[in-house]
Amino acid sequence: MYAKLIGVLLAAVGAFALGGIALHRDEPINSLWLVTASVCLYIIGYRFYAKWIETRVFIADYNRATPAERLNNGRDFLPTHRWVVFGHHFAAIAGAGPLVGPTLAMQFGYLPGTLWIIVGAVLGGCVQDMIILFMSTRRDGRSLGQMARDELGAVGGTAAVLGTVMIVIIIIAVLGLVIVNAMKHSPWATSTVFATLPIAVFIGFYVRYWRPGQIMEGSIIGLILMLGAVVAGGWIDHSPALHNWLDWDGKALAAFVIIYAFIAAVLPVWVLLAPRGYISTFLKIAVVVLLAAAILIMRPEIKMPALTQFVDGTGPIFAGKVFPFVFITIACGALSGFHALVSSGTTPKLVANEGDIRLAGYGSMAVESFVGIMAVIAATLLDPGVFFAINTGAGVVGATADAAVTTISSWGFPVTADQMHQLATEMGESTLFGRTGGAPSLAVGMASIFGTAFGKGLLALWYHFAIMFEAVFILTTVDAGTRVGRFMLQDAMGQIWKPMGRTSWYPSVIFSSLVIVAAWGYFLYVGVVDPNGGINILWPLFGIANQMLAAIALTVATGIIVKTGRWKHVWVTAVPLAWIMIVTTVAAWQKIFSLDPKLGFFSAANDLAAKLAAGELPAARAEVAPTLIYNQQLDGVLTIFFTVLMWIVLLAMVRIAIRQARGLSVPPNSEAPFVATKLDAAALARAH
Amino acid sequence: MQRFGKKQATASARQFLSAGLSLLRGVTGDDAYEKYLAHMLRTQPEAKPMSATEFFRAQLDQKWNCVSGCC
Repeated sequence: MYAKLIGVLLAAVGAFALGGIALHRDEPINSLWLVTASVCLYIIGYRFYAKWIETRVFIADYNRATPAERLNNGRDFLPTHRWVVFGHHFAAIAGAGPLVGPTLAMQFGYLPGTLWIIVGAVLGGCVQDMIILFMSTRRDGRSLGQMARDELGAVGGTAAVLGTVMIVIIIIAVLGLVIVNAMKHSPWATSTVFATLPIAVFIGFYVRYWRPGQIMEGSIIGLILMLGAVVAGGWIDHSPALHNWLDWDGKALAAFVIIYAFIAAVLPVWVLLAPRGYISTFLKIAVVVLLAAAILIMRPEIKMPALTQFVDGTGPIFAGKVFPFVFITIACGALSGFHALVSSGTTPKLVANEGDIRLAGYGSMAVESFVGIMAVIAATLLDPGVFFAINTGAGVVGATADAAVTTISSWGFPVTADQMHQLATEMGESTLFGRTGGAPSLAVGMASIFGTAFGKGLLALWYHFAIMFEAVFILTTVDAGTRVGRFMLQDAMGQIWKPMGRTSWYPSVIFSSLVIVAAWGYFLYVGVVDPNGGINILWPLFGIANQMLAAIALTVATGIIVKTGRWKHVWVTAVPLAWIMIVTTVAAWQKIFSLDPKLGFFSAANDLAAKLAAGELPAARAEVAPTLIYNQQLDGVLTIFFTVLMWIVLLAMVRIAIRQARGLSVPPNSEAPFVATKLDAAALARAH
Repeated sequence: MQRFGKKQATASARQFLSAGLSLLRGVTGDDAYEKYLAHMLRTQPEAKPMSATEFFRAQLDQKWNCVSGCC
């Protein structure tokens, strides 16, 4: 009774706040509205919708032993406290994604992105993560690819694995581009990011040789050293000799990221990857808590309008109308297919009881969605003119400060060159114009929040702290992704010639790492030389790839629910599946067939080729034009590939659903048989 | 496996902090070796468990050989 009353109250507050956001026009709205609406809806979703799914749709059995208990080996299969599982899972799913996507999507105004982050997470993303986690837990912690093969047949399985490799390559390239754009001509940011490498190596030695296994101690030391590196970066920036030495352009930084990632992928993990992974987990949790506290203290006003004129598809940051592109741009934070890989990876091997799945699966994603809301607040508290000046490439607004502010002001978002110059000086940067990719504008927003809440004199420090924080995430994804790609490639090559499959055979390690690094390095290089900033091409491609993976995960989940015969509950996954299929297919269709060169990949290639042939391009642009033309065509082909893959998996599932409905034979349910739990039942009853 | 309800957690600040610390150690993996030793003692008391150094090396190899993180 009491719980229900709280529920009704939360629902009322949440609905009121959401309505307030949706109907608010023409005057600044306070960010607390966003915080209130989102938190209320997450709690309602968690307490009622997730609970209902747990008891009615997948019918969790608290007396059933999980793989962690049955296969307990004291190491990877291990019954773990539910809050520890939650922490593990959150640290694994949250990275730079929920920070970058929402920032870019603010070109439409704050409303579409905010609604999608909240509603998409509560009804889509959290549900996907929780259901895949549940299904994998019932199947001994098997991966999404294996589940697709078992439940939908070989075609579905192969498509899921292929999709995974492709998305890994695209995500590394796009995040690499984000960090290159943040470090470009910024000696302070560059020196701080460089310093994180020896610090990670030092911590690697520390936890391997000097204090084996003292991970927390090592992480805290690493964190303190990294904060020191942020401060030291300021001194370096003020020293003319070092300043010039660390003032790198985009191409040089891209080369650095590529060479560095190759070395990191070949080196043993303890040297660099694992220690930075530890530090990054700490940093992640600390910053999320700190940012939430700072937002509550500062309570910033949102200056971005609810909707901008760019909902019609003329946006400068990326092309395309608000439908479908807001749903493609914001993947992590609302619904992200990549999470299905984590939900069917390490997490299901830790779950002690089926009743814990709701917290790890639904709860972690709700927190990630809240991180997305904080990114929205950080982006929209800036003057819209400033936001667009930072996030728009020189190819769109003009190469000089005067040209850029004139163009942006003409859109109705006034900004002056002086204002941008003063902001850059405050942040300790030479310029903030054209820093595409979302990281720098987020860092400016975070610095404003932290600066107001915890002391304004340190703006430059907060800015570079935010850049360092994003760099640590991104470089971890870059290395870990390259390694994962390498393993997948070695696995595939091992099918053809055995020795290539040996993960410790150096010729194979080096060859496969080179292939993977070259694959994403290519996209990164093209993004760097693109005068429009590259993000406007790569981020939609990443979004389409990620949503394709979400569609595959939801298809597998829907197929499994259909096979249990619970037809009346199929909508729980079928509705988000239908939505994401529509969104992704429409977006892909427009990217492939649109005649607008700003939107369509092929029409952009044709347009550029025509201009090149007519000699209309300035020399600098004509030089890179052939590369850009080829890249646009390649991106178009990849989009076709992703869309076809997604539909193949869906049709495989529909075929099985039809056979099931007609009572024909379908692949058997691959659930592990029931074994009763021997863990403390009394404690479990208390916990749920 | 240890579980705690709201009453105990708020009973005293010290208890709350130590519970928080033990959760944090669980997330970072600081307690992984202790758990492994307890598991070995319970299931195969006659077998010789790995040393701490060996254990953490084996943990690393396993953790980074799969998709362990996201965007």
